[in-house]
Amino acid sequence: MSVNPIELWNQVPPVALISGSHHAAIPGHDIDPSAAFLISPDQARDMGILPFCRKGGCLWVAASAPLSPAAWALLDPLGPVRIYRTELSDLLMAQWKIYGTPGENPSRFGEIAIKKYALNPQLLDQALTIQQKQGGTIGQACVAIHALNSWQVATIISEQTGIPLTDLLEPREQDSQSLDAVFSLLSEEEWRRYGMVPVSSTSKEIIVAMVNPFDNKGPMSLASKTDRQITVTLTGQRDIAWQLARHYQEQDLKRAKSHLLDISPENSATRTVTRGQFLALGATSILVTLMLIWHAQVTLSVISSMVVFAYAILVAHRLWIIHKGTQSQNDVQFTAEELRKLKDSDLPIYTILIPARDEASVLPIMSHALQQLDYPRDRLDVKLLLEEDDETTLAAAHQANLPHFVEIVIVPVAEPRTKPKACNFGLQRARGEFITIYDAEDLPEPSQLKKALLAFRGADSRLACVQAKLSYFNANQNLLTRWFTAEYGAWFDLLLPALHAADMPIPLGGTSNHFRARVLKEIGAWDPYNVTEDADLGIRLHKVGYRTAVIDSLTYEEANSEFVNWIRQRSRWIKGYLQTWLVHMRHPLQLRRQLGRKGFWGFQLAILGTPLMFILNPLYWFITSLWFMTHWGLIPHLFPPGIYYLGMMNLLIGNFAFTYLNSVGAAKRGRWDLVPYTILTPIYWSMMSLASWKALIQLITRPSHWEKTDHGLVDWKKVQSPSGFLQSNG
Amino acid sequence: MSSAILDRPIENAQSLKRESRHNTKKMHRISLEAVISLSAFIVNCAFAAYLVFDMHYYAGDAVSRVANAYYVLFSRNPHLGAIGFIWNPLPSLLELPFVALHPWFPSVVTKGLAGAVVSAALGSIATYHLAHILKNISLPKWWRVVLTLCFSLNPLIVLYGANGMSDIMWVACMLGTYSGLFDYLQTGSLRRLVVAGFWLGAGLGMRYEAVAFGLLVIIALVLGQWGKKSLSHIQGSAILLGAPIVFAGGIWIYFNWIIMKNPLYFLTSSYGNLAQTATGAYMTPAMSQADHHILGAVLYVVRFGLFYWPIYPAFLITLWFSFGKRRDARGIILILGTIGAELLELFFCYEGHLGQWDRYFLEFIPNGILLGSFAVQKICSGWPSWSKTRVFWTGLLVSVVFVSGSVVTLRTLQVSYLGHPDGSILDAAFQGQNLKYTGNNPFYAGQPLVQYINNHPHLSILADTFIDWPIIIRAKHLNQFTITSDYKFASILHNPKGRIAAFLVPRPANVAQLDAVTRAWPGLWAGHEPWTHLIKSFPGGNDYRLYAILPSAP
Repeated sequence: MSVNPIELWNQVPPVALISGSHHAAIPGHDIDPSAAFLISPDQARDMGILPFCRKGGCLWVAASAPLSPAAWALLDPLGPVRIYRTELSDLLMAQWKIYGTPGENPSRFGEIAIKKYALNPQLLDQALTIQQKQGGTIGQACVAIHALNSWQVATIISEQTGIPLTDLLEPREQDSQSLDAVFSLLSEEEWRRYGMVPVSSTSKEIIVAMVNPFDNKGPMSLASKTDRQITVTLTGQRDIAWQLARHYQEQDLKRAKSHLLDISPENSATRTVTRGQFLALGATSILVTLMLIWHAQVTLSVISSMVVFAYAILVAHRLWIIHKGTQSQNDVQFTAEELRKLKDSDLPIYTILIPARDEASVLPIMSHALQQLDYPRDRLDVKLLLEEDDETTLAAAHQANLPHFVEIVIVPVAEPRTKPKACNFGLQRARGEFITIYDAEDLPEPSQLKKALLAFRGADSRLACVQAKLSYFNANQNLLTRWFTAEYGAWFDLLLPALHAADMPIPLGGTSNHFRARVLKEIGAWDPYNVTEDADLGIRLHKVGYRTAVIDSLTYEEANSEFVNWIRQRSRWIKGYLQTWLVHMRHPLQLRRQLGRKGFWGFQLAILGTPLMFILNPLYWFITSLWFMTHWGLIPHLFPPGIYYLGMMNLLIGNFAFTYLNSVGAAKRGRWDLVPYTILTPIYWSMMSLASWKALIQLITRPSHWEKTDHGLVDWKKVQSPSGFLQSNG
Repeated sequence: MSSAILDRPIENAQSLKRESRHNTKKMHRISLEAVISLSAFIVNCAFAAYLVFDMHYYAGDAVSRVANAYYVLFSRNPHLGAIGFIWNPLPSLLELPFVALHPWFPSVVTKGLAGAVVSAALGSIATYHLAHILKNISLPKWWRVVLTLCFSLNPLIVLYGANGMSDIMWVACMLGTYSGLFDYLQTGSLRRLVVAGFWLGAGLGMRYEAVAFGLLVIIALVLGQWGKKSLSHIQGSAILLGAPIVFAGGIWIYFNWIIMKNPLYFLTSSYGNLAQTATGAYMTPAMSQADHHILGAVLYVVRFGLFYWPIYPAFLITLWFSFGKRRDARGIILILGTIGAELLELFFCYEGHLGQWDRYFLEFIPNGILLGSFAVQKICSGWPSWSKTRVFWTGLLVSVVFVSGSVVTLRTLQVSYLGHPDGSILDAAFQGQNLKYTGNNPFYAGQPLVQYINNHPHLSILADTFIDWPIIIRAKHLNQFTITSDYKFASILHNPKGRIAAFLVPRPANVAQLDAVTRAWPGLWAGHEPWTHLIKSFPGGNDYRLYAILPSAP
């Protein structure tokens, strides 16, 4: 027997929306305007409905008659809905109270903005165009073009809708225990994603503050976790950030320091050498000593042979890189047409982490570079990570008039004082589906985020990271920067694409690596105790089955132009590579299984081979020189016949291979002007060797010490504007 | 262990690359160039087998290079220095793996088969490069096939692809350089520029002609890009092209300095080309007209262009397309490359130090075919829009001209001063002659001596490998000899008493005057050294004599 819905509807007793009505009052108190404005006033009147609060995981909607299919279609996207029958007069009164008199057009956003904040009408037009193209609200578009700040937008919306304003930057009295309980209902990541913080809490109601009260996902998610009513108020973006930072600071810091150690201690460089490794090292030393006592000449000959053989493999590896790296299709490339096809409205939030320390002078460059990015401003979530005690940079950042999408994140003072720790701290606050890192002085190609996004979308979910190529904008500053640029050409244009093509683990470069945020968090993000956390992360990704691709997009950085500064930076890199090797070689057989045969040897050649070569070079140069100077009888015994030739090949072909690699690298980068300078590369290696020995010594004495590189040493007169990136920095 | 471990590792990240499907498709397709070059390898090997097993013909220098590789692995003091420092080392280095099979297959050394295999392989690679260059020049496919066959089946090319000589190996390097450069100029491929550089560097490992060739090709690359690329690009590309050959030259000089104590040993050694020609053994009436006579020298060299006659008109046509608005960088490279390949010969010819061998001008054949193809392409550049009939008849005409080039090669080889010595070798090959008992078999006259040495295994002998290699490599026990590359050779040569039982010495005539024993003891062969006693004479060939060392020796 069928039931007539109208009869059923009439059997339900009506509730009262407006106090004073003769019907039973609704379980809440006042009507929540943020719920009411989830639909437009016209739609509410036409369909005879009024959303009036959120509670018990549902949006409560009052209606004077059974809902039409159009009304259901309108409400469905807003989440689970509970319908309350109300009298028509009551409904009309409530609508009048919330939406104003029918027929009287409420003030529009732009009108209020012009009146209240003297908004330039041209800027308003510009914002409307952006809104049309990218979606979102007009308020977001105004913020994106710096026409208004988010607090001003909140005040305008408040004036339009009656949603109350909450100033979270003002000191407020609140019951921190009850608020803590509300915070615990959602994860930090959810609070940040929804742009929402709890403001107050009672037994019946939780009041939250949001930047965008029309986004119902956050309040509904919270409502699903509690029986209390969720009421939304308006606030500014910085208020939210400040409140979340205050609440989560301690937890974020703890996670930044020890998350990897907690979930995967075997991958943490907290301890450089494990007990097992120490014992193995000790046993090897004892064995070598005993052999030396037994027969020094034979022992030295065996050791020398092994080293020469290993070096020959490294030379062969470099030749392989020239062979493989010069193939044109090793990296992932996109055409301008493919980039154009990307709809702005489909783009996800992209987080950019920018760790900076003592870098006040480069903030204008950073600001300029960020403004150049071809990505919707409202989808950019930039975290400028500054150290709490770096007062100069903090002051400069506050005065720099940074774009609105840049959030200054203050990293509390705590050991280890490393870049990865700062990145981990910033990561907790990231809202993006994708994350990348830039250094403060970086000049990324404007379309890089879109290229990375296309690379992710074009691959399966195992692609966890996309590495862009790096080069230097001050290559012509001096000989050191020229060598450095050529070397980067070989690394990013030959080696990494070759490793990518060969499916070998890729040691990531320091910046411009883009990640799926989920994966990054899943594997414990960066190791704060590893001084080349980027290279380490690339290996860890590969170990668990994820892959890294190299895209044909460029980021210009500042090349180190001072010798001492360069030695500091290079010694940190080399120390980090050794550290990374020691960490992952704790269980060699397990590593072999995880990386596969090819990956395992690729790891050995890239991570151990690179520093080892530079550590060995001076030894062999010394032995060769000693031979020519003294013809000491022991030396020929170090090189048995076959090994002698191999050693000779290493010296001659090896030197040529490494020099030529840099020449080809410079050419591949398109820096043909640097090719003549690469002929002098052997001098550059002697500097590398110096840094390597410093690194080796420091690995033993201060394994996690971060040798800070000074930036901002550019001689701008000698900078050629790379592709117009530096239009205003000349 | 992280919770993020996936069920199984990714097997192939290539899936990230959108073009991977195309690559896979490419892998399964065997190119036309590969098919022709493989056929060339088979032809070369078959001809090598015919020369060695049926005709008993051995190119002396080729087997001598194999012998050098043999000393490296099997002499009393196995060391790389035994490879010798006169000839460029790469042919012997490439032969090493085959020579290593000597204990099981002695013929790889005694019949020089190691050299034949390497020359056949390099001949095949040369064919591949030439076919690839023709593809770059953009001619109809079947024209390309005909032109490639004109090269790979040219009688002189087949002979040198089979006889183990280094000349075809050098031609392969020369064509590899062209091939890489042409691709680089057409597509801007850095990889192909690097490949060209490596082939050029390898060229110096094969022949010294690579130096002049490399220099002129680098100049051609600069001229070809002038005005089209930035100065830094031109400079950088020239460095990338030239770096490997400069490095190869540097290594060679370094090894000469370290091991032979003379950085220019390869040039000034008493075994070197200059010393050999100074004996007057190679001076012919034709060459004497060119001696210190620039026009005579030029005419002498240019005459060898008859090895592939179309080179004359093709050179002029290409020259036309190398200047002004018609300038094509590839044409400039071919013009200067052709000149560069013969420049060393021209210099030696002028200086009176050129050997009389026709093989010095082998490069005229590939250069002629390339210049001809380039000229044809320029004249027939509109062929894609031609009718099939027109393409056919033009192709037929082109084929006739190019095939006639190879026919004329045979005729030219019959001219005594142009075709020395290969005219007679090819004649013999066509007539099926057995050369076992002729001077073309370096082992023929030495057989009784080898037999004698094998019958006296305890007789320790000092012999200079420069002339005596046919005896040494066919003797059963190599270590019965103290040879030139042994560490104590020089010491024993001058103080033989108690250290060696006998000296082997050839009659000091022609280049045999340079034999180390003769140079140390000029009167020995004639019996004028009182501390020696003649054990036995072996008439014929080099008229060897074996002298015992008496107790009165120094």
